[in-house]
Amino acid sequence: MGRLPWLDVHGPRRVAPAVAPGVRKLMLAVHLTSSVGWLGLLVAYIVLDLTVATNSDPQLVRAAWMGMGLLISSAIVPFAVTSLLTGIAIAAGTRWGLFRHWWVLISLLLTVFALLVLLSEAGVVARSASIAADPATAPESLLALPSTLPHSLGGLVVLLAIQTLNVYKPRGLTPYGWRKEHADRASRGL
Amino acid sequence: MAQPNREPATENRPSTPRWVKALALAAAVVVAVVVVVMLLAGGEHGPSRHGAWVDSLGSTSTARDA
Repeated sequence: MGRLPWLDVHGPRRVAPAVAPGVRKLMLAVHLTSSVGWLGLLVAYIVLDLTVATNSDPQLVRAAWMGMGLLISSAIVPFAVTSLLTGIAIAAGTRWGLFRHWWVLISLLLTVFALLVLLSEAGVVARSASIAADPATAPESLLALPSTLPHSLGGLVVLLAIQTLNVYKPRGLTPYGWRKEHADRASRGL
Repeated sequence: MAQPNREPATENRPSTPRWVKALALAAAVVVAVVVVVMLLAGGEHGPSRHGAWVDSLGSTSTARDA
């Protein structure tokens, strides 16, 4: 989910952590690695996807489909799921929260959306990769397999949007965040 | 590292930020474009479309092999 509120682990406004600082830092490291890794793996996937969409060499297209199948099931999906889960877990221990700030909420929604599309596409790619790996598949059938380029390019745009939101952190409280902030101030007598 | 934004203490709830509205508008435009493209392409989209295509290819291949 990119660099989300959990980067604020050193901030003075964080609530009392639910987990030990060492564990939280470890989760942060895993979160950053999986988030940036997801983006990098997607770029590698798009290279293969472009090969499928533009190349007419059956052997190259066959190899690209098999690579896409391995990449999406063995690396992209695990990285994406790890990114979302660690992001949510770390957010629970900071004052950013998941629903208080528009940029955090939108990042979360975009990440969930991207993951759902990814999981859906993973099944499609697995079937296409299986067909491509079958030596009995005729070259013309192999070249006719539809690429997933619209989805992968769309996914890249969404992930870049999430990264941008998480770097700039534009201001703005959600109605829920405003109510919580108001309640917190009232409880502190401010 | 940036800290959570301190919003000014106001009794009235602040309006939705302009950037959120702009993002929502952009998302609506993208969704509209996708819907139009889907309609122009025959109104079919999604994994079931791809799956059906792949499944039919598989059965064709199986029939050919048989």
